[in-house]
Amino acid sequence: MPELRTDDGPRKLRAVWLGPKGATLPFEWTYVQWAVTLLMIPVGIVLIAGLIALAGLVAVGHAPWFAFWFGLIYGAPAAVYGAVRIMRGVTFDEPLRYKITTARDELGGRSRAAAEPPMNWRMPWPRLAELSPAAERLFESPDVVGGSGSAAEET
Amino acid sequence: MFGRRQSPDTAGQDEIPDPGSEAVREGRSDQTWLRRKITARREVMFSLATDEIAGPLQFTRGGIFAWFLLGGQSWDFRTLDDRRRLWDQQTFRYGQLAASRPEGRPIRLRLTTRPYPSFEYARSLDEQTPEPLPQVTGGESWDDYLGHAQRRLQSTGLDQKVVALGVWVAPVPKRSVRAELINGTDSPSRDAMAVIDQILQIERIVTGPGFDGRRASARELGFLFHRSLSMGVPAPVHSGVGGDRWEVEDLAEFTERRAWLSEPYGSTVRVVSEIRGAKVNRSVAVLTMGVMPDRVWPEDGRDPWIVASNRLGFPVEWSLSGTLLSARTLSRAIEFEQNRATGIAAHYDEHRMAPPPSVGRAIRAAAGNLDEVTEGDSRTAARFLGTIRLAVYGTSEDEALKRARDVVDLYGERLNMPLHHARGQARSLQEFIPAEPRAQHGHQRRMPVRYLASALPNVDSDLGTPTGPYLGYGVGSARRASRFDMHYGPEVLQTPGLFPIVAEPGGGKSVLIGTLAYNAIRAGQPTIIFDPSGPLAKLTELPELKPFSRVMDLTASRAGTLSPYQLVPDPILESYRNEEPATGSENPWVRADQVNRIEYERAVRRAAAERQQLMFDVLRMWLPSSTLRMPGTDVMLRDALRRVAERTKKRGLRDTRTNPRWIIEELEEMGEKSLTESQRELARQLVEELRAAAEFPLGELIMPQHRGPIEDEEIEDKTLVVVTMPGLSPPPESVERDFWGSEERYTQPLLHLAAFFASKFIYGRPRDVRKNVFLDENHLMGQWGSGRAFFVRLSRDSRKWNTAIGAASQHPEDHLSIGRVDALMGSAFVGRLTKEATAVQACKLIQCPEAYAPVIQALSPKPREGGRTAETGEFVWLDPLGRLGKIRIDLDWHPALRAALQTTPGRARPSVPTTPQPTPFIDPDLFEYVPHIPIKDEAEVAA
Repeated sequence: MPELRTDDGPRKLRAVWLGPKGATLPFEWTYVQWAVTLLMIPVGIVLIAGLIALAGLVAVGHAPWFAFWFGLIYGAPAAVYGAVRIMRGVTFDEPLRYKITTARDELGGRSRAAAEPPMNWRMPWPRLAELSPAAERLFESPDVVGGSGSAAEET
Repeated sequence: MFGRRQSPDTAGQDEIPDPGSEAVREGRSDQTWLRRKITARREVMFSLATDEIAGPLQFTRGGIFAWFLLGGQSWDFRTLDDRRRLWDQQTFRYGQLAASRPEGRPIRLRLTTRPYPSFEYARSLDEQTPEPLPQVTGGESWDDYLGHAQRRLQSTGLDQKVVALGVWVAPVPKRSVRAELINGTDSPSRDAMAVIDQILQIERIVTGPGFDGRRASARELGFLFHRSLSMGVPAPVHSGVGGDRWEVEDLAEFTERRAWLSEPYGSTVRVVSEIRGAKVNRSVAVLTMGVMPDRVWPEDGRDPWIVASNRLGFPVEWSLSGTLLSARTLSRAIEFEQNRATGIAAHYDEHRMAPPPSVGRAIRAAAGNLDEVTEGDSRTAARFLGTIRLAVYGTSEDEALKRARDVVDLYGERLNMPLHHARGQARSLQEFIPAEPRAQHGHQRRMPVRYLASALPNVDSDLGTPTGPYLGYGVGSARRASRFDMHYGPEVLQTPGLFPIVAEPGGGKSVLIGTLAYNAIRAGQPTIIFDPSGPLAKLTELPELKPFSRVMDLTASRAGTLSPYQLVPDPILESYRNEEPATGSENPWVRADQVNRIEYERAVRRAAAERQQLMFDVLRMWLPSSTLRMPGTDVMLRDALRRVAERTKKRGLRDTRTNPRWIIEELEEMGEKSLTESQRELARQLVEELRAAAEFPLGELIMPQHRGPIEDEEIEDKTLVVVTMPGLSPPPESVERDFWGSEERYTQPLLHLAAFFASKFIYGRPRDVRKNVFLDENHLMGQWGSGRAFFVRLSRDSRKWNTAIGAASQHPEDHLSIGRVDALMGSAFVGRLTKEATAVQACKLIQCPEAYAPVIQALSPKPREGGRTAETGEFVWLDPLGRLGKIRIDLDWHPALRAALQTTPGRARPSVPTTPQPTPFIDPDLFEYVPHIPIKDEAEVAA
């Protein structure tokens, strides 16, 4: 009795960097997770350092000397934490690109208008028409095809 | 009555959030401005990918799609081989589509439902019924009758399934090519010819067995757009969908104003539409298929995976958007997957760790995939890659989410298929619109086309006849309304009008007979019901039937009414005229209308023999088993019958006027003239037994006290006659005949003969007039030679005399013992038969594999402990077209009929059904709202 299966078994395997859990590190991260985390660290550092610098600029008129070190000490771990949180919801069926696309679709303002009164009723509708008799003939005349149909018939 | 109608002035106002909606629950006034801004419900805006639809062609931003509607395929009660064949055919079709283009072929598969064409139903039934029963004071009219069924069909989920397959044909063409394709030309350009070539090539594949597709029309695509853009909103219910009198513009008008409202990361999309100024709201929840399991199918006995949703009591919309990938496109991706799986295993090995079992499985699966893709044919190599989505809707978000949970439960429990209620509902819903671009990321399923074909989306359970009244709805793989024209077999298919009905007590035989009889009488067809116990006599009390009905109590009839000689009528000479001109004749028209004497005389002799056999069987039924075992009994009885026949002949009487009492006289004479003591003793014993039987109350119905010839019975002229025999209980089936008391023995022939009596109804009317005979408690027939002969004659005559005959009994053996059942009957109903052996025999009757016996055992399930009264009336139906399916006889469309057919003793059944019914999916109030698209006259349409 042959088994019927999808191709998802091999597709959903995820290669991890630096070995499986416990081999090198007490956790295992996929290549994407590593990439996101490493990308997030400088972003976190810059973000926190920038905030500190901005606060210093407002409070004392210049960026404090420890802005970078503050960013490094707090920004980097915060970025790692943030990356872990984000990647926790990333699965084979909902990859990162899906998450980004969904966020763009759901929160992006470009393609949406708030449902304020009056309602726009702007749902589109295509033009519809039956084929003209001349066009019908075109699709029914075997001469037009030139005998090139290659579909195999029932075995 | 219809309080929801709003004035057109208020149509454009913002809708007030409904109680229970998310906005109300959270208390929007307490939320911050930013949060309100971000989470506010918005109107979903997008530009449609489709520019234009011309016939089956759809011109979109991504290219041209050609749309086909797939033909329905039967699945229920088919053998495993038949099922495998259908599956293989579809696999082949998908494989051919994939192979028809080196890069693969994008497809869109869309499943939806269209409202049952209830108006068409009523119109056609009215046209087919030239002389319905006249209206009487206090009774409902013919229009009321049509209205009841029409309303039921329109307001419940008994929709028709629509399976549309869109196949990508070519990229966006030049304007000139597009014009050529739409308007036609005598000399198409090379580019246009290339597109036409592709379309015809695809059409050849899609129209083949398994798909049985046909080109979709623009109006059908328009309907599909309506179903997708205004999901759950009532569609035009008129002839547009069922008939051919509806214009494309009608739908555009109908669906002019609609909008989608959605909250970011919300659970549903709210679809708002306007129908004649009234706003209709639907909440739609979209579910997405997750990783699908390995299956052993169809051996596992489960439904095709799309068909499973048909069993739910509410409509489920499906959308499969993806590409059929050819081997060339796939091999690189599959090689990568194999290498990755091997690399992961090596990685574990490098760290001296055992890889998880999934890695080993993946390596094997990847190697298998690569082998299929590189070495396999189009059936095994081709793959589908894309998203699989389902949508359910309700009038409120809560209802939609409840239905979504039901679907998730069903697929999780029965098929082990996970369905995700993913975010991004509006984007997912967009995929249901024909040929809209599909999401490229997330929930992408890739499977061999063999797996895809196991969905068998076009499996349906169409049952019944194209004409006739509404009978019930399928409860098998789909809920579809069924009509049953009992005369469709004799008139159109040239098959017998006899249909056995088999079910144990409480299985719904009376409900079925009552419904069929009621419909027939309303159509003005003469109908007789033989109902010994008499509950169906209530039909005659319905006001609309009362003046045309009569209950005939056989026990109060005059002596000799059931004389076996009376019950087999003489053939009518007129019935033996040649219908076709004789071959070889010089002037064929001369001989065309002549009486076929040979055939007629043969029929006269056959009738005489049948009478003798019937009388012989009746005598044997009267005699106790001990007498029957005595040597010479049968010979003496036969001898007496022969002498009686001679006596009748000598007196110049017709055979039908023979008095059965003459048999006793002949036996007495034979006893006196016998040479041996044993013969005298046997004759004396036979006479004593037969006298005792004749003296038994009601015995005079067969054997009158007087010695004169029996007068012929007059023909009944009422439209409905219910023949009853109150106080007469049939002999117990479970007790051997040897142990029957004399009362039971004497009752048996009365029941046997009463069925013959009812069948005389056929011969008193012109041959071409539709007639109906229903025989309840017919279980004695198969046990006696005369009963078997009777069945053969009924079957033969039912076609010639345009008569529908429903013969009900409790055991399939009553019909099977007659032999060659398939040639004798035009249709059959089998209800609940709890005993396994009986159910197996019933499978033979309806010509389905014996493996389906448990289905018959489980029909009309009894309620569990503490449950309410069970709903009866479920049957497996072998319809006149030879299709098999499960059907539930519907009485809810006509409350008065339901009340009249209430045969269960004790307290009345609850009016609310206990088993799932087709769920009304449109607001009942909308029945009047849904526009009735004006139907133009035929001449006007033609013009």
